[in-house]
Amino acid sequence: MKLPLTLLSTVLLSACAAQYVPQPGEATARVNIRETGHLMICHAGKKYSVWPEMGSDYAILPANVPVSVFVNRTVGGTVAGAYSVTYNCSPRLGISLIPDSSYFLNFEIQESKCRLELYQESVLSPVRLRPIFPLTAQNC
Amino acid sequence: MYRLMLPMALTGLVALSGCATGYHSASNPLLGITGGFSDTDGYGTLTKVSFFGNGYISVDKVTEYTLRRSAELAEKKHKPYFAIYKSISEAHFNQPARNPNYFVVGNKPSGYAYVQFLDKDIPGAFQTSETLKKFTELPEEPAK
Repeated sequence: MKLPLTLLSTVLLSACAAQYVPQPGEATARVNIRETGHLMICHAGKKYSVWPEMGSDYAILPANVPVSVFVNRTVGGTVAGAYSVTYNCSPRLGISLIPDSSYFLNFEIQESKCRLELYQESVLSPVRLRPIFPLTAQNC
Repeated sequence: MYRLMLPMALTGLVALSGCATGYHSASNPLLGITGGFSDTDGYGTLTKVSFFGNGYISVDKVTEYTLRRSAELAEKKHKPYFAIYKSISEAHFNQPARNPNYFVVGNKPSGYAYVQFLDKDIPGAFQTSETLKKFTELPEEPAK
Protein backbone atom coordinates (compact mmCIF):
# COMPACT_ATOMS: atom_id res chain seq x y z
CA MET A 1 0.00 0.00 0.00
CA LYS A 2 2.88 2.30 0.86
CA LEU A 3 4.59 1.98 -2.54
CA PRO A 4 1.53 2.94 -4.61
CA LEU A 5 0.90 5.91 -2.30
CA THR A 6 4.51 7.06 -2.59
CA LEU A 7 4.39 6.67 -6.37
CA LEU A 8 1.10 8.55 -6.52
CA SER A 9 2.43 11.44 -4.43
CA THR A 10 5.61 11.52 -6.54
CA VAL A 11 3.58 11.66 -9.74
CA LEU A 12 1.29 14.35 -8.32
CA LEU A 13 4.18 16.44 -7.05
CA SER A 14 6.11 16.18 -10.29
CA ALA A 15 3.09 16.73 -12.52
CA CYS A 16 3.55 20.49 -12.59
CA ALA A 17 7.28 20.45 -13.20
CA ALA A 18 9.04 19.83 -16.48
CA GLN A 19 11.88 17.36 -16.54
CA TYR A 20 15.28 19.05 -16.41
CA VAL A 21 17.07 18.77 -19.77
CA PRO A 22 20.41 20.58 -20.07
CA GLN A 23 20.65 23.18 -22.81
CA PRO A 24 23.41 22.73 -25.42
CA GLY A 25 26.66 24.03 -23.95
CA GLU A 26 25.22 24.30 -20.43
CA ALA A 27 27.63 23.30 -17.64
CA THR A 28 26.47 20.16 -15.84
CA ALA A 29 27.61 17.66 -13.22
CA ARG A 30 26.61 14.08 -12.39
CA VAL A 31 24.93 13.37 -9.06
CA ASN A 32 24.34 9.91 -7.63
CA ILE A 33 20.74 10.02 -6.36
CA ARG A 34 20.25 6.38 -5.41
CA GLU A 35 19.47 7.43 -1.81
CA THR A 36 16.79 9.89 -2.80
CA GLY A 37 15.43 8.60 -6.10
CA HIS A 38 13.33 11.18 -7.91
CA LEU A 39 13.97 14.76 -6.85
CA MET A 40 12.91 18.29 -7.70
CA ILE A 41 15.26 21.17 -8.35
CA CYS A 42 14.79 24.90 -8.40
CA HIS A 43 16.97 26.28 -11.19
CA ALA A 44 16.87 29.82 -12.61
CA GLY A 45 13.56 30.47 -10.87
CA LYS A 46 11.80 27.40 -12.30
CA LYS A 47 10.94 24.05 -10.77
CA TYR A 48 12.17 20.93 -12.58
CA SER A 49 11.78 17.24 -12.03
CA VAL A 50 14.95 15.13 -12.06
CA TRP A 51 15.20 11.37 -12.56
CA PRO A 52 18.27 9.15 -12.73
CA GLU A 53 19.59 8.27 -16.18
CA MET A 54 18.35 4.96 -17.56
CA GLY A 55 20.14 2.04 -15.88
CA SER A 56 22.14 4.34 -13.63
CA ASP A 57 22.02 5.91 -10.17
CA TYR A 58 23.26 9.20 -11.59
CA ALA A 59 21.28 12.23 -12.70
CA ILE A 60 22.50 15.27 -14.61
CA LEU A 61 22.16 18.57 -12.75
CA PRO A 62 23.15 22.12 -13.73
CA ALA A 63 26.60 23.23 -12.60
CA ASN A 64 28.27 26.58 -11.96
CA VAL A 65 24.98 28.04 -10.68
CA PRO A 66 23.15 27.87 -7.34
CA VAL A 67 20.46 25.17 -7.41
CA SER A 68 18.02 24.08 -4.72
CA VAL A 69 17.26 20.38 -4.38
CA PHE A 70 14.00 19.09 -2.85
CA VAL A 71 13.06 15.54 -1.94
CA ASN A 72 9.82 14.07 -0.69
CA ARG A 73 10.37 10.92 1.34
CA THR A 74 8.30 8.55 3.44
CA VAL A 75 10.14 7.32 6.53
CA GLY A 76 9.40 5.04 9.44
CA GLY A 77 8.14 1.55 9.95
CA THR A 78 10.05 -1.59 9.20
CA VAL A 79 11.83 -2.68 6.07
CA ALA A 80 9.13 -5.23 5.47
CA GLY A 81 6.64 -2.38 5.60
CA ALA A 82 4.10 -4.09 7.83
CA TYR A 83 1.99 -2.53 10.58
CA SER A 84 4.17 0.54 10.40
CA VAL A 85 3.59 4.18 11.19
CA THR A 86 5.10 6.31 8.44
CA TYR A 87 5.84 9.99 8.13
CA ASN A 88 6.57 12.24 5.21
CA CYS A 89 9.45 14.65 5.21
CA SER A 90 10.68 17.07 2.58
CA PRO A 91 14.27 18.12 3.17
CA ARG A 92 15.91 20.68 0.87
CA LEU A 93 19.46 21.68 0.13
CA GLY A 94 21.19 24.53 -1.68
CA ILE A 95 24.09 23.43 -3.88
CA SER A 96 26.48 24.74 -6.53
CA LEU A 97 28.22 22.02 -8.49
CA ILE A 98 31.59 22.05 -10.24
CA PRO A 99 31.16 21.27 -13.96
CA ASP A 100 31.97 17.72 -15.07
CA SER A 101 32.38 16.54 -11.45
CA SER A 102 30.58 13.64 -9.77
CA TYR A 103 28.69 13.87 -6.52
CA PHE A 104 26.73 11.71 -4.08
CA LEU A 105 23.48 13.04 -2.59
CA ASN A 106 22.81 11.38 0.75
CA PHE A 107 19.53 11.25 2.65
CA GLU A 108 19.91 11.05 6.41
CA ILE A 109 17.79 11.03 9.54
CA GLN A 110 19.60 12.57 12.49
CA GLU A 111 17.98 13.58 15.77
CA SER A 112 14.61 12.65 14.25
CA LYS A 113 15.02 15.15 11.40
CA CYS A 114 15.46 14.38 7.70
CA ARG A 115 18.23 16.10 5.84
CA LEU A 116 20.17 16.00 2.60
CA GLU A 117 23.95 15.97 2.40
CA LEU A 118 26.10 16.48 -0.67
CA TYR A 119 29.50 14.85 -1.16
CA GLN A 120 31.90 15.20 -4.05
CA GLU A 121 33.39 11.94 -5.25
CA SER A 122 37.10 12.46 -4.74
CA VAL A 123 40.14 10.21 -4.50
CA LEU A 124 41.63 12.85 -2.18
CA SER A 125 39.14 11.91 0.53
CA PRO A 126 40.08 8.88 2.67
CA VAL A 127 36.55 7.55 2.13
CA ARG A 128 36.32 8.81 -1.51
CA LEU A 129 33.52 11.26 -0.57
CA ARG A 130 34.36 14.85 0.32
CA PRO A 131 31.64 16.80 2.19
CA ILE A 132 30.36 19.92 0.45
CA PHE A 133 29.23 22.88 2.51
CA PRO A 134 25.57 23.62 1.67
CA LEU A 135 24.19 26.90 0.39
CA THR A 136 20.87 28.41 1.47
CA ALA A 137 18.06 26.64 -0.41
CA GLN A 138 15.85 29.01 -2.45
CA ASN A 139 12.17 28.58 -3.25
CA CYS A 140 10.87 28.76 -6.82
CA MET B 1 -7.23 -18.30 -0.27
CA TYR B 2 -5.77 -21.15 1.81
CA ARG B 3 -2.30 -20.26 0.51
CA LEU B 4 -2.57 -16.89 2.25
CA MET B 5 -3.83 -18.24 5.54
CA LEU B 6 -0.52 -19.51 6.91
CA PRO B 7 1.48 -16.30 6.25
CA MET B 8 -1.43 -14.24 7.61
CA ALA B 9 -1.70 -16.37 10.72
CA LEU B 10 2.04 -16.20 11.33
CA THR B 11 2.03 -12.45 10.76
CA GLY B 12 -0.80 -12.06 13.23
CA LEU B 13 1.01 -14.26 15.72
CA VAL B 14 4.18 -12.21 15.51
CA ALA B 15 2.27 -8.93 15.74
CA LEU B 16 0.15 -10.02 18.67
CA SER B 17 2.87 -11.72 20.66
CA GLY B 18 4.61 -8.39 21.33
CA CYS B 19 8.08 -9.71 20.56
CA ALA B 20 10.98 -7.30 20.45
CA THR B 21 12.89 -7.42 17.17
CA GLY B 22 15.48 -10.16 17.37
CA TYR B 23 18.90 -10.30 15.77
CA HIS B 24 18.14 -11.27 12.18
CA SER B 25 18.14 -9.82 8.69
CA ALA B 26 15.43 -7.32 7.81
CA SER B 27 14.99 -9.24 4.55
CA ASN B 28 14.09 -12.43 6.42
CA PRO B 29 10.73 -13.38 4.85
CA LEU B 30 9.04 -14.10 8.19
CA LEU B 31 10.95 -12.39 11.00
CA GLY B 32 11.81 -9.37 8.83
CA ILE B 33 8.28 -8.12 9.44
CA THR B 34 9.52 -6.93 12.85
CA GLY B 35 12.61 -5.27 11.38
CA GLY B 36 16.23 -6.44 11.60
CA PHE B 37 19.61 -5.57 10.15
CA SER B 38 20.42 -4.33 6.68
CA ASP B 39 23.75 -3.42 5.09
CA THR B 40 24.46 -1.34 1.99
CA ASP B 41 27.82 -0.78 0.31
CA GLY B 42 28.74 2.10 -1.94
CA TYR B 43 29.04 5.12 0.35
CA GLY B 44 32.52 5.74 -0.98
CA THR B 45 34.60 3.10 0.76
CA LEU B 46 32.05 2.84 3.59
CA THR B 47 29.26 0.39 4.27
CA LYS B 48 26.07 1.61 5.93
CA VAL B 49 24.89 -0.85 8.56
CA SER B 50 21.36 -0.32 9.88
CA PHE B 51 19.12 -2.03 12.39
CA PHE B 52 15.38 -1.39 12.27
CA GLY B 53 13.50 -2.13 15.49
CA ASN B 54 9.83 -2.42 16.35
CA GLY B 55 7.99 -0.80 19.26
CA TYR B 56 9.17 -3.43 21.74
CA ILE B 57 12.94 -3.03 21.48
CA SER B 58 15.05 -0.48 23.33
CA VAL B 59 17.37 2.07 21.72
CA ASP B 60 20.30 0.45 23.55
CA LYS B 61 19.56 -2.92 22.02
CA VAL B 62 19.16 -1.42 18.55
CA THR B 63 22.56 0.29 18.73
CA GLU B 64 24.10 -2.86 20.18
CA TYR B 65 22.74 -4.94 17.28
CA THR B 66 24.05 -2.38 14.78
CA LEU B 67 27.52 -2.72 16.27
CA ARG B 68 27.25 -6.50 16.35
CA ARG B 69 26.30 -6.63 12.67
CA SER B 70 29.24 -4.35 11.86
CA ALA B 71 31.59 -6.77 13.63
CA GLU B 72 30.06 -9.75 11.80
CA LEU B 73 30.62 -8.07 8.43
CA ALA B 74 34.22 -7.25 9.41
CA GLU B 75 34.78 -10.92 10.21
CA LYS B 76 33.24 -11.98 6.88
CA LYS B 77 35.60 -9.61 5.07
CA HIS B 78 38.56 -10.94 7.13
CA LYS B 79 39.22 -7.51 8.59
CA PRO B 80 40.62 -7.59 12.16
CA TYR B 81 39.46 -4.04 12.90
CA PHE B 82 36.63 -1.74 11.97
CA ALA B 83 35.70 1.85 12.72
CA ILE B 84 32.18 3.24 12.89
CA TYR B 85 31.16 6.80 12.04
CA LYS B 86 27.95 8.69 12.67
CA SER B 87 28.08 10.36 9.26
CA ILE B 88 30.07 10.25 6.04
CA SER B 89 31.51 13.66 6.97
CA GLU B 90 32.88 12.31 10.24
CA ALA B 91 34.41 9.42 8.31
CA HIS B 92 36.06 11.88 5.89
CA PHE B 93 37.56 13.75 8.86
CA ASN B 94 38.39 10.44 10.59
CA GLN B 95 36.35 11.01 13.72
CA PRO B 96 35.31 7.50 14.77
CA ALA B 97 32.37 7.04 17.14
CA ARG B 98 31.96 4.58 20.01
CA ASN B 99 28.22 4.14 19.43
CA PRO B 100 26.07 4.01 16.29
CA ASN B 101 23.51 6.69 15.47
CA TYR B 102 19.89 6.11 16.30
CA PHE B 103 16.54 7.71 15.61
CA VAL B 104 13.00 6.94 16.71
CA VAL B 105 10.04 7.19 14.34
CA GLY B 106 6.59 6.23 15.61
CA ASN B 107 8.05 4.74 18.80
CA LYS B 108 10.23 2.41 16.72
CA PRO B 109 13.96 2.91 17.20
CA SER B 110 16.46 2.37 14.41
CA GLY B 111 20.23 2.43 14.54
CA TYR B 112 22.81 2.97 11.82
CA ALA B 113 26.50 3.55 11.33
CA TYR B 114 28.88 4.06 8.45
CA VAL B 115 31.52 1.38 8.79
CA GLN B 116 35.09 1.28 7.53
CA PHE B 117 36.68 -2.16 7.61
CA LEU B 118 40.36 -2.03 8.48
CA ASP B 119 43.47 -4.20 8.21
CA LYS B 120 45.27 -2.21 10.91
CA ASP B 121 44.23 -0.64 14.19
CA ILE B 122 43.58 3.10 14.31
CA PRO B 123 42.60 5.22 17.34
CA GLY B 124 38.92 4.68 18.08
CA ALA B 125 38.59 1.47 16.05
CA PHE B 126 36.97 -1.72 17.33
CA GLN B 127 38.75 -5.07 17.36
CA THR B 128 36.55 -7.45 15.39
CA SER B 129 37.07 -10.64 17.41
CA GLU B 130 36.66 -8.94 20.80
CA THR B 131 33.51 -7.12 19.73
CA LEU B 132 31.94 -10.29 18.39
CA LYS B 133 32.83 -12.18 21.55
CA LYS B 134 31.29 -9.47 23.72
CA PHE B 135 27.98 -9.39 21.87
CA THR B 136 27.48 -13.08 21.28
CA GLU B 137 27.83 -13.68 25.01
CA LEU B 138 25.08 -11.19 25.91
CA PRO B 139 21.58 -12.55 26.56
CA GLU B 140 18.62 -11.59 24.33
CA GLU B 141 16.52 -8.71 25.62
CA PRO B 142 13.20 -9.77 27.15
CA ALA B 143 10.05 -8.22 25.66
CA LYS B 144 8.88 -4.98 27.33
